Amino acid sequence: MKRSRYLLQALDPLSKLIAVFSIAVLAMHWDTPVPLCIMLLLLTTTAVFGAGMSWSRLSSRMMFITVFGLPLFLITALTSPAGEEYMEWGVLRMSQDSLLYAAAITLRMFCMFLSSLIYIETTDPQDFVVMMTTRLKLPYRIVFGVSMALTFLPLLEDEGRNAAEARKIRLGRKPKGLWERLSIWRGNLVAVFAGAIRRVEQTAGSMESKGFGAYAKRTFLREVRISAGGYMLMVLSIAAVAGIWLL
Amino acid sequence: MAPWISSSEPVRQDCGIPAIKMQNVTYAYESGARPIIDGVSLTVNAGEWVTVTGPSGCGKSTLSGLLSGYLPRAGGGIRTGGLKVSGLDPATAEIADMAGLIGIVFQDPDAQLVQGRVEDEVAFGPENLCYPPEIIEGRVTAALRDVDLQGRRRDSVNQLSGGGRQRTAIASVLALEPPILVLDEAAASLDAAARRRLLALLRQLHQHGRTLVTVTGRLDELALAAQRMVVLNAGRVAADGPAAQLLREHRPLLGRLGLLPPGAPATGEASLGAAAPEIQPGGSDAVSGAADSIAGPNPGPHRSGGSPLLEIAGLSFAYGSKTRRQRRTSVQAMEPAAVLQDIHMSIREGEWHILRGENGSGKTTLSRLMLGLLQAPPECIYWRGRDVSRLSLYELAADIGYVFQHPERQFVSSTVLDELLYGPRSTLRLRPKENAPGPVLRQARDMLRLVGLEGREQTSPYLLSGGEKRLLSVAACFMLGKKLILLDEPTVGTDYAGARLLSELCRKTVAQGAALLMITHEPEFFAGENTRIWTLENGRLREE
Repeated sequence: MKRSRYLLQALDPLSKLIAVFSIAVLAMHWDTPVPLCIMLLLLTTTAVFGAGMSWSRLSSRMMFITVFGLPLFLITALTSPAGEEYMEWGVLRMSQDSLLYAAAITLRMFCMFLSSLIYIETTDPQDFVVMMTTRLKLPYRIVFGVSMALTFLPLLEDEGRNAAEARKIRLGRKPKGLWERLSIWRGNLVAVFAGAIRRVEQTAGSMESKGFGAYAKRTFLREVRISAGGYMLMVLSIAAVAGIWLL
Repeated sequence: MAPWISSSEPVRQDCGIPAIKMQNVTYAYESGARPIIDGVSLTVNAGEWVTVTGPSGCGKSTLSGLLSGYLPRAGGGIRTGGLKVSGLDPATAEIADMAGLIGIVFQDPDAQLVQGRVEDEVAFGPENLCYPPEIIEGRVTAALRDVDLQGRRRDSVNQLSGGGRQRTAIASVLALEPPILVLDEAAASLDAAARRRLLALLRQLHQHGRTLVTVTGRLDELALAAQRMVVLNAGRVAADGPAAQLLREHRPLLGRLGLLPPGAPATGEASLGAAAPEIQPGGSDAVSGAADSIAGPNPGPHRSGGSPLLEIAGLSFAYGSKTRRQRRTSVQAMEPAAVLQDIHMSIREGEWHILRGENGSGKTTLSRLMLGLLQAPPECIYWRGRDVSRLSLYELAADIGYVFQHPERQFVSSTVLDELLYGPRSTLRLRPKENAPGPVLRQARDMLRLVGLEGREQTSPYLLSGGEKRLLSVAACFMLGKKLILLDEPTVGTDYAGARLLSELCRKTVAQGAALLMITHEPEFFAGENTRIWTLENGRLREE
């Protein structure tokens, strides 16, 4: 069996899940930008050196969340309770406190997104199913649902890329004007959704034809063990949350 | 090479109950729509091997869907009449009962693979039926050995070629060891070696008492290995009987429906072998005489010349290999195995190239590099003298057309006619409400007539049969005056009539001066044409 090149790829899904929950708890606990900024920095380092994500892949994913993060920052900054020091840009007025709070909220979202991303990138969906079903005794139908969602994310990404490529090839020239670009973008979106629906329907049919859901329980060929490193990660995560919370 | 077959203990089936019994079954995808299956009555006895055949769009795949219960249970639609599989109605039976009873392999592997890794995919069914891990392990090992995928056991299915994924899909059904096995165009994307292996495996399974139903639009050696043949036409049974007898007595019908190679004798005396192109090693040079004439007469020398449209010089490529900059900055570079090594090739106007090779040999990778769908290494591929690595997809797509391996992936319109008009409308920069000019409309209607889709103008491309979708995708590409057209496995799932139409289209396009590069594992379909044949083997390209 191939050895994992990166530390987090070698760890079991359960211990990593506990670490992700711990990060989420800490991120919710802090509401100032500095500790969240440090956390984001640590998570970025972990993504590159612990999970083996390339800088380009990481930046493209972070660009995605920035699309949601930027409006969140602006809306929070404009609507949060005002402090004393005001900054003015025309009709817009913001306090320094509201800006800092908006930054913290946005960084919190980035931290939670990045920790989940690291989890998805380093976890084999089938390992996740085995662990949740055999260790946590969760119903396998529900766990498979989550696992399929993990599997479908890269598939949807593929579907989107294919749709965009196909349209570019079929169009045979650069789109002209905003209307044409919007229409192509809409077409891509429809293709991705239609493809996703078709894929989900086909997959459901295929799973059923192979007996999925026939019995309340199922067996697994694969066995996933928790290593010493996994136990250590769980203990450290819980201890870190408890310690920092009390501080 | 004889396959190592381990699969399957002899199967005991209840001899009193037919394996499949259909009584006046009718099925339509929507209420009030034309039935796809129209009053079919059919009995398949346990242990029988039946080939269900018919032209593209005759209802073969719908029949498979009905047998598995996918239709109407998950796929919707309205079924009437009686259908029993070993005494159970697939539409209402318990999931566990059906999964242990009937296994179906469909043409599109992506529609049936549900897990990430090859091993997980094959173990999925037995795990659902609660077999203990040691039994599952034995079944997985045997099934993977049957399809020659032992070495890829821990690979992701997405890393496999189309043929590799299809073999995984076959293994995942074999691991369930169902007494009834239905293969719906399951060999369509397999290369010659894999088809030979599958044929040997099916013979073995049949000897062990399995009931086999092979569904196909071509009467090739795999189809004719069955003792009985059922011919469907427009959703009805057009003929049913021993395969040898039907070949003798209904040869004109079979030829008319496009199920036989056109070169096969028109009347009775022909043996099975004369009708069926044999599955032999080596592709085109090993195909039977009958298949040689599929494409019709040789059009004569093509008028190629001038400087090359596309030139490849010393191209090597590996997935995940680092760029020059990455190589400079990283000391941990671990270069993956090369998919393509030192490729040299040139394509000129009016030339028709065929690129063949076994599943996973890198054919699709090469075509994607040519069009810039994969980042080509610098100074290796030139389009009309310009480095492809420096050209955008838009710049390349202005002159190069591409027919995808999966037709659905290139559909961009909601009707068949709009699909054909999409390219010309874009070239003419027409607004959405502007009508296409008369000559373009005429060209589109001529094209529809040529590919047998006349009268289906307003049908959704997604509702066409597999073969029809493929012809539409090719026709849409040929509507434009591209200088080079790349076709990725355009014959997969088409019947002989479809392949002949495809040949005609290609011949016309080449005669008009365009160049073609056709990627196929079935070069025999174009054996009579004036082509240059390239073989990709172990990442290296050589011209025949």
